[in-house]
Amino acid sequence: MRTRWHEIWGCGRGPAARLAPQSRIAAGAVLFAAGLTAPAGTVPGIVLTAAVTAGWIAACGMPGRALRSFAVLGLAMFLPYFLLAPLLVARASAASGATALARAFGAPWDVFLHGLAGMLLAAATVTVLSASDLRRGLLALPVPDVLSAVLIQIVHQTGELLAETKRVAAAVAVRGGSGGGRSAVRALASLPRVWLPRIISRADRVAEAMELRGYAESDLRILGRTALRAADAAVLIGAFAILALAAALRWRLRG
Amino acid sequence: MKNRLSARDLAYCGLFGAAALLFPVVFHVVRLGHVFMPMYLPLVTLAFFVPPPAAAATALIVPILSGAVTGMPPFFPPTAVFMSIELAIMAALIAAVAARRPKVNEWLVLVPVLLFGRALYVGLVYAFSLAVALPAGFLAGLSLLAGWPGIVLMIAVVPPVARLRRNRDPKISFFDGVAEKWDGWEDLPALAAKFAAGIGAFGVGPDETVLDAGCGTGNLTRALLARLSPAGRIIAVDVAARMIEEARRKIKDPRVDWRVADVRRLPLSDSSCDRAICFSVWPHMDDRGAAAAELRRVLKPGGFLHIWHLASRARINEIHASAGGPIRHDILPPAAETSELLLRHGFRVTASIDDEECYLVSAVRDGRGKP
Repeated sequence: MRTRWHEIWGCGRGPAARLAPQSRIAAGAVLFAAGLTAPAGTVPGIVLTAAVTAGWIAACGMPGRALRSFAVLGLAMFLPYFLLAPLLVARASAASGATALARAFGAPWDVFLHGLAGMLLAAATVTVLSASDLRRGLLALPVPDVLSAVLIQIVHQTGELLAETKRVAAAVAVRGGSGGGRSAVRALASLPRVWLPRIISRADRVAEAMELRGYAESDLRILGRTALRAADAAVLIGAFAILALAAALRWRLRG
Repeated sequence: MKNRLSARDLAYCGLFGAAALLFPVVFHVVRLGHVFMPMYLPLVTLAFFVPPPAAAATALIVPILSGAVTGMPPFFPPTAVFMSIELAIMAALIAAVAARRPKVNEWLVLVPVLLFGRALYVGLVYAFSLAVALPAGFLAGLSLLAGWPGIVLMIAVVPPVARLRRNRDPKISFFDGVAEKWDGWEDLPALAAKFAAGIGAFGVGPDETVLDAGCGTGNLTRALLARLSPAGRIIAVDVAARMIEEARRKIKDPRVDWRVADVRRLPLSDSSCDRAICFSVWPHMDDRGAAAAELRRVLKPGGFLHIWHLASRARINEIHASAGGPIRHDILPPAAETSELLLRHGFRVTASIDDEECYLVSAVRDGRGKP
């Protein structure tokens, strides 16, 4: 999954990609919150979570290959929570058989549904954001300046470092370093002597280059803000309405 | 957008944040997987190199960004959020101690902070598991056990790397450290008046390109701006990034080009400046010959160089000696010695003053090629 960093950014071709970047980020965040807020223990909650996830994936036009990758990863990560069911059955043994079973599987189901939905909603949002969109979107949203600046830098530098990391990983593998054991120890030993010092020297070079190009404090606002249109407003209102519905479902249940 | 981070801090945050995202790739190749918490390693190391807000912001962002783009760590259970909280608090604590006590033993900082961070993380896992009716003790215990190899690796690896920060030129660290206080030590109106008089006496032309070598917090830069026309330009250079930040904050003028650079390696093309002024910076240069050669390179033939202090040589040397630290041996040589050095590096000395009020050596770059 991790090596697909450069492939996933901006690969979505759905109608959501035509929204202003700030709307894509905000709608994605609000729908993500809605997906995690809707209760997993009721049919309306499950339907809402599934519908929001499927709807946003379709709106973003998330490619099938990426969707399959995330779905497989999600299944691998969240299905094992059902292995905790025997422990939970034992704890819920005071209740009657059917209730105990429902209680025992309730928590793993909660983790499975929300875990998978959260993963897919976040990934779908990333597919409609190129690095440039992320930058423009963040600068138009009320995100603290320090966070925006650091996030933009991380995304940029990760793209820059990715090819190098792949080359290093391939070189390690070619030299027989992928067998664990002794090669793993060698890799660990190289961390303080090679890897981290190299990052420091590279950071110093990047800093010099940034200074040289006059990367000043006010530079990030140079990019113009994309104006919101009626479609952006409609999507955002819809997203907030869904969040309100999810909250109402959960609140009604608790109430 | 006004971010409060310097270019250096941003570069460090970007690179170490990227490394935190990509280290797991390399770890997977050698089948070390997530046992050694590869994401933590660069973020904890970063905390020794940047101020607390930058370290905390990077640590806060990386797990969430990784969760969004790669699916790991997951958002529910909120492992990504717990890691963000744990890492941000650890990074802020380490960075705060490292900033206040640069010479502190790295192990003394790292070990308690890592233990605290792990305890915090396990506590969060326990609380969440209780809230969603998962076996809290079991999952918290699992988190505790799974984290130990990574903690041991960090304790072994991070301190030797963190010590590299001490290899920075101690003078840069010194001037970075005093940048915020610098203007408080000066009588700025009196200084501005002296600058105006001096610049007038030098005959600075309105359309000149002037190199302010060792610009500090930009007080001379501001005086030069008052003298220059809209066509004039100042290249303000200092080796201390925090000094440049202070200067930038004070002066917003498109005629100034701010650069963090060493005078011995100026990021300027040959013969690009009409004049260079080294105000209160000459004693701090370790290799004055190299500095003179570099200044000659960037000056146009016939361009002017002024090495200038607004106090006597004895007073300057006394101030440096009493300041202690890395500048205590920064001695301003007699003007005759400086003149001799400039002559050797292709300058013709036009004025030399070394009295109770002022130290000034003015010179003109000769028209020949390399001296």
